[in-house]
Amino acid sequence: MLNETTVRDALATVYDPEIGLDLITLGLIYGVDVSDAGAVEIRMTLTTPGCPMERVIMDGIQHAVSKLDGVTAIGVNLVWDPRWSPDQITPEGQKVLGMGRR
Amino acid sequence: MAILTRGPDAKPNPPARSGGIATERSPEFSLPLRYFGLGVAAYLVAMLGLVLVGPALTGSPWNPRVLGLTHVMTLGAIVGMIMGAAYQMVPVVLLAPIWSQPLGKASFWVFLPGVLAMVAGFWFSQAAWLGIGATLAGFAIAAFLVNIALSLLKGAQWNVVGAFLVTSLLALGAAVSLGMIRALSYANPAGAWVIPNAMTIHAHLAAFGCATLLIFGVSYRLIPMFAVTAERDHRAWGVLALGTLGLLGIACGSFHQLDGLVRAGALVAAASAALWAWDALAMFRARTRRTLDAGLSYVYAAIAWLILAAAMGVALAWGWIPPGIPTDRWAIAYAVTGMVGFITFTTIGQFHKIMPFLAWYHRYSSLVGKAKVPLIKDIYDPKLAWSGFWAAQAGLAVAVVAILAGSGLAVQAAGLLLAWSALATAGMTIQTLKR
Repeated sequence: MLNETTVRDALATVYDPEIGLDLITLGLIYGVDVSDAGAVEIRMTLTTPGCPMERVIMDGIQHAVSKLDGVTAIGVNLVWDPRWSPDQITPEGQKVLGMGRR
Repeated sequence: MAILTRGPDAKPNPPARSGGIATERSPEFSLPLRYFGLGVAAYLVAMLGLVLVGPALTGSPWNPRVLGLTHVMTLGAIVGMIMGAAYQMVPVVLLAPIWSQPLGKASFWVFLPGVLAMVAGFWFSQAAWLGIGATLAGFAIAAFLVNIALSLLKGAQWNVVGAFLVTSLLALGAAVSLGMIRALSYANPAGAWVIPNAMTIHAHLAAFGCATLLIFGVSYRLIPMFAVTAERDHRAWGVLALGTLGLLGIACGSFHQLDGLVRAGALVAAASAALWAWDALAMFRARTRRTLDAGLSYVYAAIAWLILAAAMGVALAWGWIPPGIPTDRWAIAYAVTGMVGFITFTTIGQFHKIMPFLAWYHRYSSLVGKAKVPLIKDIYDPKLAWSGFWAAQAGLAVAVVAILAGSGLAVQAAGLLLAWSALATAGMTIQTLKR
């Protein structure tokens, strides 16, 4: 059944191939809306406006979410406010990046 | 299914920033790859050359073998890398597609024999080869400059990185013109055009005006991109203004033989370097990823080499050389510190980030979300990269001390270490292309 959880699960399969963490762990997803008609609206950001992986990540989201049953449209709303900060990475992700070793 | 990549209330990216280091505007991979390949190969040859001509580096900077080796490094490795990086980065940083990819590809086959003939001309003291090589390399670089200029005129979105790029390419054009005049004068002494301190001006236009200022500019985008940190370019215009003024002071002062102007220029150029180093260190300190990989470590370490080179340059201009060290040796040590420690190590460090990315991008980007794909770090051997990094730092430290101390044998030992770092970079390139 298509809902926010299944979309988030799909987004957790899309990795930033340079950082090595998925979009959920990185805290890049600000919101997910799923309409009754199957339209998925994702509000998200990137680590930086010059992120080298922007196109790859956008394509990855399209491929991963479009595989879900019942999806009729996907909208990715890329925003820079609030600006992403490392604090948005989950504790597990911070451990992977060695962020505790300041 | 309707698929949007940006929703209606999405705020646009800040103007003139890229969507990465590869976009739909990027050229065919084979265009930058041939120049990168030349850059890596020339770096390896130059470092092996240190083993051969080590003792000559403790003498005069105008020794033919030293000049040959210098041009393997500057023309082959540094200009090769710069041309590859410009063909890759101009479309994504300034959003301007390359005007003519065939011209970029064809001019490589003029540039390569030009570099080979020039180096052979220096090495064997053959004036004719030098003249032919300089002409071929000069034409190829002119074609590159025209190609980039027409690309920019085609619709670039201007920003401070573009200003650094234009300044750098103007300096490259001036350096190459001066170099050609010198080479042709050498080949035809009867019609020689005497320019006071031509080699000093040529060297600073190429090393500081072209390579260093270009690195300063692109680093304001690449360090944040690779270290995952916020961009910090509000002082970038100041760095460019100081750098340009400093370069003009050194060049005009040398031409008119005004020591005071050269000294002032050296101080202003050093201030530009210090300001950039401050920004670069701030970006590194604010990085998200605390653990530095070998590529970023090259760039980080290069900041220290830059400060040392700037101090050595100021000391050279002001005559503050420690007693007992001949000026020529100091000048060579200064050139090696700046050219290898800053320009080469920064270039190699950023290459260690860009090359795996490009190789990964061209093989796997279309599969993301469809199939399990490796991460970029999975197609990269960190042990090999780290061994190259440490060999490079140790090799350069030994080389600088050995040149100052006048020990040719130690310079040759340093050459072995530096050659290993070049070999590791070549190995990384081949591995990432094969995986």
